[in-house]
Amino acid sequence: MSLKAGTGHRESPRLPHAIKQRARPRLLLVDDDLRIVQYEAAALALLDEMCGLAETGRLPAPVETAVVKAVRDIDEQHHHATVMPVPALIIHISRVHGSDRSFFALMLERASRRAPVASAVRRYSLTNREREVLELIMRGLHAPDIATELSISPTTVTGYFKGLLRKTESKSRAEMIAKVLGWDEGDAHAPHS
Amino acid sequence: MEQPYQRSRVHRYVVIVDQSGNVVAREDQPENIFAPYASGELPQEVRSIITSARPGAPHAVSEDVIMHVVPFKGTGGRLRAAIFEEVRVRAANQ
Repeated sequence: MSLKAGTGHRESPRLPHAIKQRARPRLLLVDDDLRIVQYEAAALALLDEMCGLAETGRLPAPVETAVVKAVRDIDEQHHHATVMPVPALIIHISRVHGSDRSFFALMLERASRRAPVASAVRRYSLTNREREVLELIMRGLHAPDIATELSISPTTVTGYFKGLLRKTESKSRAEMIAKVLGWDEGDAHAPHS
Repeated sequence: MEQPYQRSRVHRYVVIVDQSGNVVAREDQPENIFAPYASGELPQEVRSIITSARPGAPHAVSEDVIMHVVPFKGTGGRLRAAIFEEVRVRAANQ
């Protein structure tokens, strides 16, 4: 399949039906203050369905909380992060730069019908506490916040984290999240640890 | 069972363009497969698709990459996004 300039190409007839019909992510752009500056209506509809919309121009509270934490991980070496602010919603965050402006691009996707964390509990034989820690990791939280959330010490959280890495046979937070989301086949876009 | 092309869904690259197809912003350091779309200017045939495409429909831009065109609303001018996505079209066709 190739594209040639001037062919008037609009949509490849050779794309398999399954690819044409598959759901694509919904996209919105936020500025450094996480205010929504560009959006597609379907992205807002998905947020509203999942979390209820917040005030105009803002992300819903659970989404904003997760994104605030996740964008801290995005720097010159790590360009992506992925969070699950609520169980059925995956948000892939990346930094997009321009000459005079930059944004965070938020790609919103529904989680699969099989809840990723529930699947991971079965697949990796996780304990109840490991499941709780994993759910908070998927929301973008790090050890101090997880410790507060679960009323345990950060050291204990680190212990659970290491246990999760061992059980999922992951070398990093990123690899573990990718595996939980089923993206463990050469995923280069997963969030880093 | 999940199809092979579905497993590659996270391999994506986002470029933001204006109504004329000029690049306004883009992600840094794309994977090699997205390198043709990571310069300051998109290939002409890709620009023409972006500026005229029916939103939402995926477009094949190479053997292994499809592109979704996303029209935006909001402040700061009418922008569009091109989401390039690696797919295994040949595998899915088999």
